Amino acid sequence: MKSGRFTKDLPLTEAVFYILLALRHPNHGYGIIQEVEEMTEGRLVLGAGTLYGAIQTLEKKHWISVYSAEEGSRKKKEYLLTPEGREVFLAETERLQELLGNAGRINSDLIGTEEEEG
Amino acid sequence: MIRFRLYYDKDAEVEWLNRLVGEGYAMDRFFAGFYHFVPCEKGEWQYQVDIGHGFGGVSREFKEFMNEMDVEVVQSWGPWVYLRRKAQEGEFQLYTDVDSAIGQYKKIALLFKLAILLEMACMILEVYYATVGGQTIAWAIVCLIVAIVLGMFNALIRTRKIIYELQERKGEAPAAPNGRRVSALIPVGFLLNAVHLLAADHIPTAIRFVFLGISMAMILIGAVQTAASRNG
Repeated sequence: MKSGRFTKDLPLTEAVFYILLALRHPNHGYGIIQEVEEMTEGRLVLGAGTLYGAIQTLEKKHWISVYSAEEGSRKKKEYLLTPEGREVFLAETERLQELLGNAGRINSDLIGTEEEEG
Repeated sequence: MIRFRLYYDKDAEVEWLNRLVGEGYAMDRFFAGFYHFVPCEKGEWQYQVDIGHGFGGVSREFKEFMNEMDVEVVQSWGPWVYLRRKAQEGEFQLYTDVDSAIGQYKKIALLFKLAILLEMACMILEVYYATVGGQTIAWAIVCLIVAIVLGMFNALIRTRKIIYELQERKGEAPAAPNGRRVSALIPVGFLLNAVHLLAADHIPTAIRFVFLGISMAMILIGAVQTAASRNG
């Protein structure tokens, strides 16, 4: 099982999951917020404090790393998913697929029971 | 303009700062409870308070990150950080998911615990000075510290309740927080007592007794109220 190595890190919080997803390509803080907002159609808007804390934690865990840092008055830093971060993300995706697979089977059982009763 | 306030509750503090922005005053400096305001357009800014980035001010990295988000670090004071963003940028929230909000309130709870311990250590020292040295001023300081500790204790109870509610929202089943808030009459009573002790040599005995009577009555009524109240 792929997720074995990262079992203790899972499940990821929704914010961390989307931050990792937004960092599949180099992205800076504001870009992450915008991308997550677009992906979730405005449902999830990351606060600056939430994002700052998550970035600090993810950097410490070596799941993301600084890709580039702009110089100038607004020193934007771009971050990128590391190979380890990618593995964690895939492990979480696998876990979520298992959940959805089981939910789908139970759903079809429930629908079948309802039809028999009807 | 300058206003003096002592806030233990950062949510109430944010609400007050934003209310003053609504009246056309933006906070630009803070020092030991003194807030300095300058005129601004009504509703121009939204303020937030962040906590727990160290006692020596925020890092350059934090400032740069916040600047990138169009957030201005107005002032840091110990672990307290005052932030603001133009209201036209939309709603300004620092912690938008339950996990980071829980983390934030846990930091606040830890700060209150540390501050209470520090105050208690100071109180023991003052009790020693008061009993051994017989200094009236030391008793006044003891009363003052008791009032501060009780205020912080209430703030800690409130913070633990918020953490409990957030953990419940997250689907966890945490143990319900123990402890009940102390009636505000008790710390106010101790404050009055401190004033009475400090002014002892400068006011007539009759007024001293009135002061003492009121403060003792407040402490007693507060104790009864606290005993009768429910947890939290």
